[in-house]
Amino acid sequence: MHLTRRSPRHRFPSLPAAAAAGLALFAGCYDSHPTPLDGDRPDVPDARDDAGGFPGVRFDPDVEAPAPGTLWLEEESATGSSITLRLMVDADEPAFGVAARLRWDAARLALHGIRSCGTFDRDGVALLDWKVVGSGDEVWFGLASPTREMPADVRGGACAVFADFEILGPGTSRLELAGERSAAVGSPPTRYLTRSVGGGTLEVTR
Amino acid sequence: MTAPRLLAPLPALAALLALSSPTAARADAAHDNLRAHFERLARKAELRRARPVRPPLFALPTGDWDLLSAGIDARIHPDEGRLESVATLRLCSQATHPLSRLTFYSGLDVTAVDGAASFSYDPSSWDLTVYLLAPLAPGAELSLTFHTAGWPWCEGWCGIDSDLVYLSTTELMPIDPDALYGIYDDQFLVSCRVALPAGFVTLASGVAGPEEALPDDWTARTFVQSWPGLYFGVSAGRFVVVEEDVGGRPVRVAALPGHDVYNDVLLDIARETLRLDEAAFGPMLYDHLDVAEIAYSDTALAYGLESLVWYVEPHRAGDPTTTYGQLTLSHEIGHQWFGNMLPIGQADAPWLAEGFAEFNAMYYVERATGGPRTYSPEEAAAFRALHGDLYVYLPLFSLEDPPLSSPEIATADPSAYGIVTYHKGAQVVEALRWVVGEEPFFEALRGYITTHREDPVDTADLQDALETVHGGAGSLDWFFDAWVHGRGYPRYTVEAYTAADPPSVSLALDDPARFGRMPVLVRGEGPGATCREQRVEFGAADRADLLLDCTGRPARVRVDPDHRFPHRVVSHLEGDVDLSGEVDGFDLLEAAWSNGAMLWDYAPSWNQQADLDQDGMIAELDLETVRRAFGSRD
Repeated sequence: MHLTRRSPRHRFPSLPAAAAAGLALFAGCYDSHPTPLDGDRPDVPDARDDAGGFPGVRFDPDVEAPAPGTLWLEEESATGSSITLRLMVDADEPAFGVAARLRWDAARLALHGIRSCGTFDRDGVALLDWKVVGSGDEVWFGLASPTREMPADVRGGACAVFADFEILGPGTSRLELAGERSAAVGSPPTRYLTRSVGGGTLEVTR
Repeated sequence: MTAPRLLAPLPALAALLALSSPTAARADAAHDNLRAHFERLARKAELRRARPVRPPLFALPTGDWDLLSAGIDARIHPDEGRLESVATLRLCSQATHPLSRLTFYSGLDVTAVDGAASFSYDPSSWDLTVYLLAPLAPGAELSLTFHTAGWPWCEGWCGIDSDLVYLSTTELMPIDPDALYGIYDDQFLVSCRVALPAGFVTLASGVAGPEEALPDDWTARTFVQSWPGLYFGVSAGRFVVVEEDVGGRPVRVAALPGHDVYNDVLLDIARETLRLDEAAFGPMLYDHLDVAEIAYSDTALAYGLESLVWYVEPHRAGDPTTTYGQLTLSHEIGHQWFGNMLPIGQADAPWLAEGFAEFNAMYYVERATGGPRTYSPEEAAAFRALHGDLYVYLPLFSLEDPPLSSPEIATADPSAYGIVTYHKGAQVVEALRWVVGEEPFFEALRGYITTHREDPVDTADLQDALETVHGGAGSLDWFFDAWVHGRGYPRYTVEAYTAADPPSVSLALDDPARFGRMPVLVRGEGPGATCREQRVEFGAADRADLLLDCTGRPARVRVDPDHRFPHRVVSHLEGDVDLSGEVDGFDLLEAAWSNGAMLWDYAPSWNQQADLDQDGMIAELDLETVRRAFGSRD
């Protein structure tokens, strides 16, 4: 015996079969939820052109967060029977992803889908998952950068996702971002980059 | 098993002390240093004679003899890759009957044995039998002088090349290091003189004398082993050396020309490690510390000999500013205290050296404020988690689980030995720090080191020192029974109700009889929540229910968030990576961030809780589990 520090790899036998199978599957990950890209949009400058910036997209260079380090909702577009919202995020540090919950009045609005804005998936491989829960009035979702090494620059505010709703009838509907269940996270994702939601409630009137 | 012994001057030291060079304020100082060192060892030996003798754990593999001291004169021929040595060994009979012959094991050809009637040496088996002039009575002592020559053999820990030499002293005398491993509780002193041709920089373990000029442009260096240690050697090379005074002692990094690209970085790491370690453990024993290149082998990345760290080809090992490089060097420097200043007194407790050295590496990651890079608290916690998880996943590899301190550990499968001794060992040291408390823990360690300095230690010595500051004799029996003499780890199953008002959590513990006294921290977290850490002790119960002490609603629960001890934490709800009681976007983010991390890659992105199928890698199958469960609640 000698006092030494050996590579832990040397101490392991060859990979067990289950691990080897997992490795093979890993090669195909990240693509089961393809998301539309908005990188070609003329109003979406590519932040990678900024010297020293992280790859990412600024939805609007003039956007202002309601407060530093927040998530908030804005209207992206609307027709008489539908509205698309955008979830915006602002943080001083690069963000690995965003998790959020959105609630609404199910009698007046119906969710059609959640799409990435492109901020977190310039290569089209970011991971997005969402699910409508409860009685159809709440969606939980998460959106992650394609790799740990490619967090998104969200300083000043960037769009994370679009949420497409059908407006079911006339009147005013409220959409609310659940502050205690919504945040952008950094690296590692145990770091919450946002501590609150600003403008977390949006009223939709038809 | 140790018998009273005389500290007679050893041949090489005697030669050195007899030198009367007019050159020599510097040489005189070095001689004084050596002389003082031997006087200190003699005093220590007197003290040890009064101590009760520990029985050996295993039958001696050496043929009933015990090594008391060795004086070695070696001449190394780098261009020919060989050496010649004359080693005088002072031996003591451990047999209960008179011995007419002694057996040895030598990888070097033995050409003569002085002081013996005859000998036989088989170069194919390396068996050496020495027939004595007269029977050796039980307990009697004997000196034999062996003349050896040849090419030393070892598994990565020695080499003689035209420009690089590194040898431990066990390669310079006819004793197999594995045989010495069997007589851990023993002590032996070594004085060694190594001669080399001109052009070599020689760096040596322990206390070193000045260079001595020899005819034909050869030079010799004499050094004595501290006490008792197996980990003693010499490096020589046509080195490029960087040197700095660190805390009043020289620290040198030596690599061959062209291999020296990281000398400055290694010096930075060594300086920072010494700064941290001396504050934590007290002064290093030695008056110098060297880091020297050795050739690559797949045996080890580095070795921590006394005052001399061997580091495998830094230019090929990669940038030591990477975490792994820093962990490697800080581990080896940790051996200056654990393994060298405190030799292991039990063959069955190597964790006292390796676990503590690896703890030192984790401590470096946690505390470094200088050196080539620093780490966040999250990164430090992640490295602690890796150490614990390497142990937790032992069953995945169908490996046995020998207790840290047990006869089984010495004969364990090498993989199990490594994971248990190094990784579990480091996390058990961390767990002691957690249980005993930061300040008392380091106070106890400093006391343990001061009390046992240069004296073999065993697990009981450590427990005594910790109990002195903790709760008195026996107060840590439960801990040592569970973690050191026992096997396994606690498994916590978590039911979280973070959406409830008030938020709460229930933890189930699988084995309260062993781990019920292990305190565990529980903490709520959330983007808008401020939560107080809550300490949970199960006692005899197998379940603990608590209300989370939070202002604002937490989004998750963390169990042992700083990874202070090995454990498995699983959610009651499949796919609930972050223990929120709900499978939502945060679980997706955690699994996505860790995706591709494999435990055995030592990846900082590793997260046990994201490895939902518990196969040691976080992959698409785990993400799929989160997706499938998305939207579910506990």
